[in-house]
Order: sequence, then C-alpha cells, then structure tokens
Amino acid sequence: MTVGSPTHTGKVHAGLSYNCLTTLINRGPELADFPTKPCPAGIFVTHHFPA
Amino acid sequence: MKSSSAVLALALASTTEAGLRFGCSTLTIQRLDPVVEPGNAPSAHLHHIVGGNAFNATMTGDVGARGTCTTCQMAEDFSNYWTAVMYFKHPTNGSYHRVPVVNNAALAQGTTGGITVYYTQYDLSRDNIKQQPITAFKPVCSPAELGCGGILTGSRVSA
Repeated sequence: MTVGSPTHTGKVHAGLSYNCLTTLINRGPELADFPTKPCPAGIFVTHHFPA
Repeated sequence: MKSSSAVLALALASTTEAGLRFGCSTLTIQRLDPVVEPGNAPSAHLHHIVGGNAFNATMTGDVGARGTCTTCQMAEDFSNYWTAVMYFKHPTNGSYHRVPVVNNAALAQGTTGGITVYYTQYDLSRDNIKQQPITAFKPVCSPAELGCGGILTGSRVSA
C-alpha cells in the first residue's frame, strides 16, 4: 500500500498528517498540513493506511 | 495517539477491539521500492526502510520464510515498512540536505532512527478490517492458520 505521491503539489495529502513537536513527548495537535514554523523537537509524521 | 495504557485497557475491555504498537530501528536507506517499483535499482527516489532482513529490490512470496531477523521489536515477524526521505533545501545556496530521522525514545529506548508502527482497527473502538483489507503482498496461507498471523505476515506497507 502507498500513501501520498512525489508528484503531488497540493497542500493536504490524504493519509498524511503532522505533529510539530515541542519536546520529544509533547506532540501538540495533529495537523493536516506540513508545519510552517520551526518545530523545536522535530516533526512527527503519521502515514495512515489505507489512506 | 493512544497511550499504551489506553490500548491495554481497550484490549481488555472487549475481544473485538485491539491495537498493536511497536518501534523499529532504521534498517537501511536506499533507492529501492519493491511495491511501487519492483525490480528497479535504483528507484525514482530515496527511502528510509525498517523491518526484516529479507528486504530487496524485488519481493514476492512469503517474506517471513526468508527473513531471519528484524529491526522491529516484534521478533516473530519480518515485515518491512518504508517512507520517502525528506530533504531540507538550503535557503541561500539551494543545496539539499537529507533530514535525519529521530527515534521514538519515549516508546522504545535504544532504537536508532526508525518508525513507530501502529496496527489498529478503525479507531480502536470500531472494527472495519473487512472493509479495509491489507493486500500489498498477499499472505501465502490463510490468516486462520497457526503462525500465519494474517494482519502481521500478510501486510507490507510503503509510502
């Protein structure tokens, strides 16, 4: 199964969501689009199958 | 995301609701994708791969019979999981830099890079597995057979 596409240029990808990490264990809200600000502890990406 | 205690509580509450979560260290980073581009070496783009040691440019049949170890916590299964690799484009000189993967230390201390894998029913409270069959690589035996573990050996996931 696959999620997303390397040729996709739109904002929201079905099956993909993001968390902008404040710390390693503080994920904050789940976002439909890629974070637009720096995330201190990184970005947690969820790939949901099937999309 | 559910905490492990919530998953356990739900699993005990009913035999029809279940979830599974485990950590996997990075196995390798390669331009290979046996699902989307079987046999292509290199594939169109780079992937970050975790799981069993039977991973290859082409994968058919029962990977569980060929694998002997895995980077995942579940040592009984040799499934692979992979994602595209993200790059950072330098704002001034335009150069690209591969973004490193950070392990989920809160779940599995000692893992390196890697992926956290969740197997869930619809949302841990509704079961729609029959409406969302996992068929990327079909299992070679019935999920009902001992050791065939339908949801585990029958599933291979890529991104």
